[in-house]
Amino acid sequence: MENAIEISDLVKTYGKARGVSGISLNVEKGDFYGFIGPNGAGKSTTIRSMLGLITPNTGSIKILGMETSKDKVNILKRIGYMPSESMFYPQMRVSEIIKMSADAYKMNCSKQAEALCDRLKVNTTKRIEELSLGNRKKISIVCAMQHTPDLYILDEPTSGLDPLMQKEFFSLLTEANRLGATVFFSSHVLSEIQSYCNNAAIIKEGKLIAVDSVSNLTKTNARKVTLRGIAKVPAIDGVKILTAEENQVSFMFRGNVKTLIAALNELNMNDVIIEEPSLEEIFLHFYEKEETK
Amino acid sequence: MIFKHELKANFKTFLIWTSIIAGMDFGFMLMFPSLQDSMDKAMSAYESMSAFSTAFGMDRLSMADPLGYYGVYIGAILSLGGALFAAIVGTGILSKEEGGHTSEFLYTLPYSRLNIVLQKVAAVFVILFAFNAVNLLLGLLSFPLIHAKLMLQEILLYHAAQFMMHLEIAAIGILLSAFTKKISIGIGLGIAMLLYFLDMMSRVLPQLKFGKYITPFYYANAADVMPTRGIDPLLLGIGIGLTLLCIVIGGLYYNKRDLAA
Repeated sequence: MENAIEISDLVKTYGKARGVSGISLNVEKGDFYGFIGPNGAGKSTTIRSMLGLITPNTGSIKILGMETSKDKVNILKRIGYMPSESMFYPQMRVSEIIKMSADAYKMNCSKQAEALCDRLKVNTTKRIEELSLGNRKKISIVCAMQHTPDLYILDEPTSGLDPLMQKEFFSLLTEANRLGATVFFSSHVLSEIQSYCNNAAIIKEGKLIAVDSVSNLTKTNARKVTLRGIAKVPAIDGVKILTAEENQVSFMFRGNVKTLIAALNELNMNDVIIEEPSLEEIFLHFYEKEETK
Repeated sequence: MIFKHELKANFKTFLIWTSIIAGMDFGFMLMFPSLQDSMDKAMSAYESMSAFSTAFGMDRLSMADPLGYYGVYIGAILSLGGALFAAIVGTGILSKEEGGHTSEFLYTLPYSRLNIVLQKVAAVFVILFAFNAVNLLLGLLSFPLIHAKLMLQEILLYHAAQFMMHLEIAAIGILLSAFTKKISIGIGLGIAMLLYFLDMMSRVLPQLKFGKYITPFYYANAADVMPTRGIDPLLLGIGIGLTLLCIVIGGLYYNKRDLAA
């Protein structure tokens, strides 16, 4: 399978501040790929390097088989990019921005633009300065999608969008993905990565700490246990307390299930829930594991 | 197209500055006949203030004469006003993208960065050309209206020198703009003012005589251009060279540098 994105040993520092240190990452064509990490972890630095907005110190980036450092314009022609800020020229009208973007690709995408504006409920007669972040995001989506690119690079695309729009946005992306486009998006909202992505990379402090399929990332022998009616956690090995309230405790358990059941048997509780942890909880777990090292 | 986009984006600023400066100049020219008598008296008073009159070029041009009045009085408004306008347009042209957080939109469109920079520089050139063209046309129109003799060669040369001076100020602004991540219009305006005063000071103070090699206001000064019917070729050459150098260095640096979000 060909790769849509190939990043190897990407290093970018900003003076003393950390950017990214040694990122290697491959995204197959046709994949729906999530890039997870908290603010300041290096997500935007990686994405901005991919687009040639900043020049990495070392390392190479290949997008759709072309090197960013040599073939930037040809790469940009086939990319749909959504920056996290989604700022446009305040005095311009929405329709003018959409047209300016379409013209840059030398394409007449008025039909797609119209369909996108319709589905996202974009008012094209307004001026940019009148719009909220969420509404600017929607224009950003139209600009990224109207020329039907082969690869979507989206930097925190859902921030600022209301839940209904998020749903519409993901169905647009899923449709494009089904037609063969590759989607690469960054987020710190794990539930959306879990719902839509096949593969994901987790970045922390400029380094990738996990790269795997989402199903493997969520597959873990750890279990999340919630007990109602008691305030104390059973004293067994492999327990990590998540919350402890007056009438309810919940904790992560990693170890032999029989030990857990035996310990629970001793307790005087009303209810018990044992479940697979969400990606969110595993993600936090990744972070804490790193910190204790 | 970025070129057209920039013309549109700068149109309001252009309209305001052009109408105010060209309008003021035109208005003051039409007032000349009623001022002529008092100008005669004023000139004899100025003659006793030698440094002051040298600074404003009144040692060589008489304000009592329409061309001299155009060069000294109108010229002061046009050269300083035009330079401030050029500084605003020049300094804003690159840095406004990062200042307004639009760099991620513009520079991820499928154009090379150098292409965008060249289109922006071309837009600055056209905006300043249009500004100077309007000023020239109104200037030419004003002479017959006040029944004064139109000294075509002097006026054309003077306006050509002014245009070149405005381009140089804008180029310095573009250089600044390429190196800074935030809009630095204040610094651009400051430099334009400084160069304006350097011209005046270098005419009065012998210690600052070298100033004429630095400030573009010197070769564009009506007091030199009009009486000699020429622009000092050495100073003009330095000016053109500096203008090109600023654009090339600024453009090449900006082409490679990291863009702020």
